Amino acid sequence: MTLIDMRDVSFGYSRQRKVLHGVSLSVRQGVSVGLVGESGSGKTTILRLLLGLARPTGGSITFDGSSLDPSSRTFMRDYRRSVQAVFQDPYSSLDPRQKVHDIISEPLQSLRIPGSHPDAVAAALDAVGLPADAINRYPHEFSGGQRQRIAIARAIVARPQLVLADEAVSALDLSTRIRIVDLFKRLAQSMTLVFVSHDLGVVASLCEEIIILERGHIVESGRTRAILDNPQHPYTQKLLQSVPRMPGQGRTRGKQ
Amino acid sequence: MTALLTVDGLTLRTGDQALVSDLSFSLGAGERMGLIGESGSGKSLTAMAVTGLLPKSIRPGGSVVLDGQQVIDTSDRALNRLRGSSVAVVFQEPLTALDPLMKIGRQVAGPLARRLAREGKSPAGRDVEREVLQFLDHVALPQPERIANSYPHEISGGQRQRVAIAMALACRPKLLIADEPTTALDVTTQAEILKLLDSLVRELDMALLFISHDLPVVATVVDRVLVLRNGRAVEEGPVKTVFNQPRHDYTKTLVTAARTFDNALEGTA
Repeated sequence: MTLIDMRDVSFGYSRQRKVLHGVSLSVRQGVSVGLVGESGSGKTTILRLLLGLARPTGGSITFDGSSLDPSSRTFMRDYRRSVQAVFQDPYSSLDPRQKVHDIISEPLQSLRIPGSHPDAVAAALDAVGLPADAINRYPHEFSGGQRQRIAIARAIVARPQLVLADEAVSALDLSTRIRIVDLFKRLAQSMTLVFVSHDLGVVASLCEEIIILERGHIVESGRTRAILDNPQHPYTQKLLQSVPRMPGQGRTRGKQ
Repeated sequence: MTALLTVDGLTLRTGDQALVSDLSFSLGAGERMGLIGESGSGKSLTAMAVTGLLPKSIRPGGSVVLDGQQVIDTSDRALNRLRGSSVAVVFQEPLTALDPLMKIGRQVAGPLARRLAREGKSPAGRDVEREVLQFLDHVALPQPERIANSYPHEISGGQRQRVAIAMALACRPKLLIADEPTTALDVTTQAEILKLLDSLVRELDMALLFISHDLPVVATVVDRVLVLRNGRAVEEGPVKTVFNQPRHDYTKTLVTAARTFDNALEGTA
């Protein structure tokens, strides 16, 4: 089943400054997708369009068959329930004056989701590997990795179909990053993940499909493994060659 | 031969908290070493201690001898003789390292004129200008005249970092400290800057202290690494030895994580 379908989507801040040029992509249920590109590639713009924070200047976006319309209240309420986001900076994405319980239960309350909220919060905390007594503490009492777990718990508490993650592990230390990637990997088994990142290694270990963006154009997309093993577009090839590698093991050496 | 830089029992404290504890290492002329650590490991503070640029709130202990001069508890006046001639730094964020209100050409001319004065030359403005253009060309900036005439915001991030490197090189330091010089850059730009640093350090026979959290990046430019954790050295050795046979559990965690992403790219995971 196709969750998201973008057809020939363009976006520009003015006629002269277009940041997306006729982008078409689809996200199928259960298939995690990595959006990869450098600064100015348009990956964050695509995410903003998918979140309903901006409207395309051309083309169409549908979710589950119906048109994504940020001005329709009824559509957006259902949409918010189905689609949640995790952002890059775990220090600015959590309200410092709210306790963890209030932060995580916020989507349940604002979407007026019936049922026991404390139970849902406890389940979300458990899913992200945080202790149950975290609910009574404030964000500043947690490390960066733990905060990102809180942000992820907030994203999954309403059991969305789709989670959009924007550079969600980029601000984390390596030893923390690998654990949060593992957490996303586990979550991707029960929900669909769109993972925006500049980090090919992270996307390679997390996403079944990959979309490579350059200056607002999709230059290559398909199965991650196939593209990494046999990149067709010169930009994809350059990107792959630019990633520094560990010395000694693997096919390519870090030192040339 | 005495080392260019000898750090011996360096301790950095703020209040009653130790940020760096009993850190010792040395670096010979022309040697390249990487300081690896995650946030809070004290790697950047160590660089600041070496250049004598520590914030007032941090009390240093132990010894840092750079080019025969003790750095700890030494006056800025004495240290100013070291800065530029013995050591220069390239920082992470080239946008904040450069003066936004000054054209690139003048910014590069500053350290260049200082070095020429140090060498006893009193060149005409025109000669300085010509040499500025040479330095910009040296760091592979296209159209050096245009860049020299631009303000920092008018050029790209990668170009700004090249300018910062040109400024450091204009000093002709014996030791170049690069503190996460590619962390703010795109991966294709990063590859270009690493290549540039690598060739320039070799060509000008400088020692390099490369600070980074990124293991594969460090591996591309240095021969030896020191792994820091919470202000303490946990392991030191040649890059290949440390990355292929890490002894300390913490290094093992880092190496395993880095290799996981590497292997995912290679399809050997």
